[in-house]
Amino acid sequence: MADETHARQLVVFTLGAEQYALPIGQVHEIIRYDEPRSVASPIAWVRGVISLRGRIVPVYDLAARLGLDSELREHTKIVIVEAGSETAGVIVDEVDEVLTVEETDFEEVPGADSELIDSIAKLGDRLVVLLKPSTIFAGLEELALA
Amino acid sequence: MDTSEYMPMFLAEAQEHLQELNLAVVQLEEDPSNQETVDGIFRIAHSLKGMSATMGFSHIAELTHVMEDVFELLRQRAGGLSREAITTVLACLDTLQAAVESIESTGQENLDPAPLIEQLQALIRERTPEQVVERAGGAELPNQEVIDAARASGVRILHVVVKLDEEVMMPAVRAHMVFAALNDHGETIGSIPSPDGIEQFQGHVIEAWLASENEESAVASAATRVSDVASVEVTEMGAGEPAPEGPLSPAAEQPETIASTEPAAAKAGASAAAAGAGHSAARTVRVDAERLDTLMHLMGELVIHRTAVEAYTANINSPELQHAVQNLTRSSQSLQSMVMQVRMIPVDVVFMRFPRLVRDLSTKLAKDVELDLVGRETELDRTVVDSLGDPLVHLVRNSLDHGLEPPEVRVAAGKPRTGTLTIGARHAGGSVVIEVRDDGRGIDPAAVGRKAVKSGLIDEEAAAHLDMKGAIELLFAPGFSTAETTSDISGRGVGMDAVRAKIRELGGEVIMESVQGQYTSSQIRLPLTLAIVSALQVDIAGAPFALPIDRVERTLRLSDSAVRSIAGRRVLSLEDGVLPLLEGAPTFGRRSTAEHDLVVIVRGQDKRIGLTVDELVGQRELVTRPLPPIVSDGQPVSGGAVLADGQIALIVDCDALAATLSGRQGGAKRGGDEATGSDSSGSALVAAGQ
Repeated sequence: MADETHARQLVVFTLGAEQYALPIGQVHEIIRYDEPRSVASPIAWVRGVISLRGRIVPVYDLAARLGLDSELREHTKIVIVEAGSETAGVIVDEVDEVLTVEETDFEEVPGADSELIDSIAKLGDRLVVLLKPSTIFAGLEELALA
Repeated sequence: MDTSEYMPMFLAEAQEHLQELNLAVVQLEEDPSNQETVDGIFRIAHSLKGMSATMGFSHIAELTHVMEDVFELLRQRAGGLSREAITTVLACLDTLQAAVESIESTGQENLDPAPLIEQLQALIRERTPEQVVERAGGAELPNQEVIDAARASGVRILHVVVKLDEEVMMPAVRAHMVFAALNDHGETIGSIPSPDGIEQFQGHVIEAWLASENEESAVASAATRVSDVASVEVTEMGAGEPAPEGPLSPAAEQPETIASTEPAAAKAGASAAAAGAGHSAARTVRVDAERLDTLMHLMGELVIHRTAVEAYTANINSPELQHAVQNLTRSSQSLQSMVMQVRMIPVDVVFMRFPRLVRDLSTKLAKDVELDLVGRETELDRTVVDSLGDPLVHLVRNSLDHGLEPPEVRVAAGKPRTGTLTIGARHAGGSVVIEVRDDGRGIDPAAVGRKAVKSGLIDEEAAAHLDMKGAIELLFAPGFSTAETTSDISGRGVGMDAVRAKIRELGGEVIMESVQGQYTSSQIRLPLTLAIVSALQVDIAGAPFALPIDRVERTLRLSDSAVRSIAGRRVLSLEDGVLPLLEGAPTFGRRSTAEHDLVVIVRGQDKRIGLTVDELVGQRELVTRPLPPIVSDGQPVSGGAVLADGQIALIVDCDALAATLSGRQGGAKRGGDEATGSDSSGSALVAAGQ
């Protein structure tokens, strides 16, 4: 079937009540949450750094990045994402599953003003927001330069 | 043959050979009689020739071949080469260097050896009148028909080269006797000198072509029996070899003749030396620098994991396990120190370029300079050594251009005619100090002042009161160049500020000292290695920080010292001075958690700063890791390090710390959106540089 070639594998995780996803190719690994070593970053959603097998990797509060209220949630996992030559961790509440989603299930985001969101997958009554790893990092660099 | 896989090795070795050649040629100029240097040059030129021929770079091979001939000549002559000759040879080296660089970037050698070969040959012609005299007596060379006819009848053609003693009284007589001896062993079909010209023969080298059925050794021993014969070389002419070309087509052929007349003993010596070089090559291995870095990183991880294992097993009551962990610790420690050693290379790698540079510049500037290299074997981390070249070149240029005076001026000032430039390296604790020192005119604060006024750095008033310390500080100011007239040697718009920036990027400092009329000295102080930093670990607001130990002066208790306030800023009043006091927590954007009583005095830029901390944890050897720019921006930190318990310590950049003082009042509101531009770029530079 032609459609099979357009199927995408996503890592689905929870932030508060919402479900988000990242393309599996860019998810390097998922690790248990440990409080990152805090750093005095001028950017609010930079939560600090962790040591990933000797490497120092920044950790971002994805919920804060997306404008969600992150104070009361229980963080359990850090998803290590690779985009280009950069590696960073994003904090999530829980990693749910790996889903294979047909291209036809994706829809444009209504009022697509977010540079972080690629599209939305509608699976039955669930909505999974597919994020753009490249802009998560790109946006960050612009901010750092600003 | 596909040689592309050998290309990186060829390039690296060619560069090395050229550098060694540069050095050796300059050494030879200083001490022309040093036979070892001459032999060295010959050997290097020879292997360079061989390498480039193998790789198919025929022009390089051609040029090095002729150079080899010049060096060969040198081995036979006392008195060495003239300055022009050395200059020509150095020009050849430059051309070769350019060719090698061109190969590196384009794969093509882009070299036209003809003009240089012409020059080299002219050199030999000029410098060797006796070689021409040698030819007196003419030559009668065998023609091809005779050779072919002899070969057809199964007779071999032997080429005999007989060298007479230098002191021979009657060369013509000896030549006659040699030919007589040779004629007993075959038919002479050609000779230099020609049979008719023997009586005029005044040289030392006799050549003959012999159609002979005898063994080479028999012919050789017959010729050797003649008195005053120093050496005899007999070789069979190969079947494909054409008849020798016409006589006295002078330059082109002479070097060939010289080369072939070299006593067999010397040849043996050269090949033995070559074998020696081959032997040492087999004991060293070229490794990609990146692999070394990876090795270092992996080593760092291993150390961290080992520490974790040690901690977990400490409470398990199993003697076997304890023993195994001890062994693990021991071997991984040896491994760690070995990896560190592998990264260290002698600073001589950088120093090697200076004899040539100093020679060229002093010639151009008409100054007499003696270069003194001290502590060449001092070892430094490879990454540091690599980045050290440009700053050092700049300092050396400065000394030659601005520091050292022309000979007349020196004599008039009662100094020795020849100036001394010393480049020295030495270990000092955990760092290495590299000093460039000249005994020249020193820094003139008045001249620096005038220049600074012209550049708009200070006003007339300030210039009038400029002392040495202030003048040196101005030299480091961006946009300052002391050259009265801009020369092509220094004053290229890159000043001491660039030197300082580069050295700071490496985690070091530059200090300058001078006494007017006596000397100028620039000292570069660098950490031994960038990969591991010896640091004082402290706690600031509950988080670990590391202060590089070479920046830590001492620690003291706040309660024992006098804290004063000047213009709203807290200062420490100590016996040896008043220094600014920085609160640790706000400096690093943290909320203060504890009442702190401890102060660490650190050096940053040229200031001393007191930094309050909550706790002194101890001295640690930390494997440094670059920080993601986003987290280090705007903070006076240069990197991070993973501690034994998995925590991350931020390594404090003391220079950036000092900059926060001058950059902004109080420095208390760092972080947030108030990070100062200059600071953030400074620390980002350091992070990127690792």
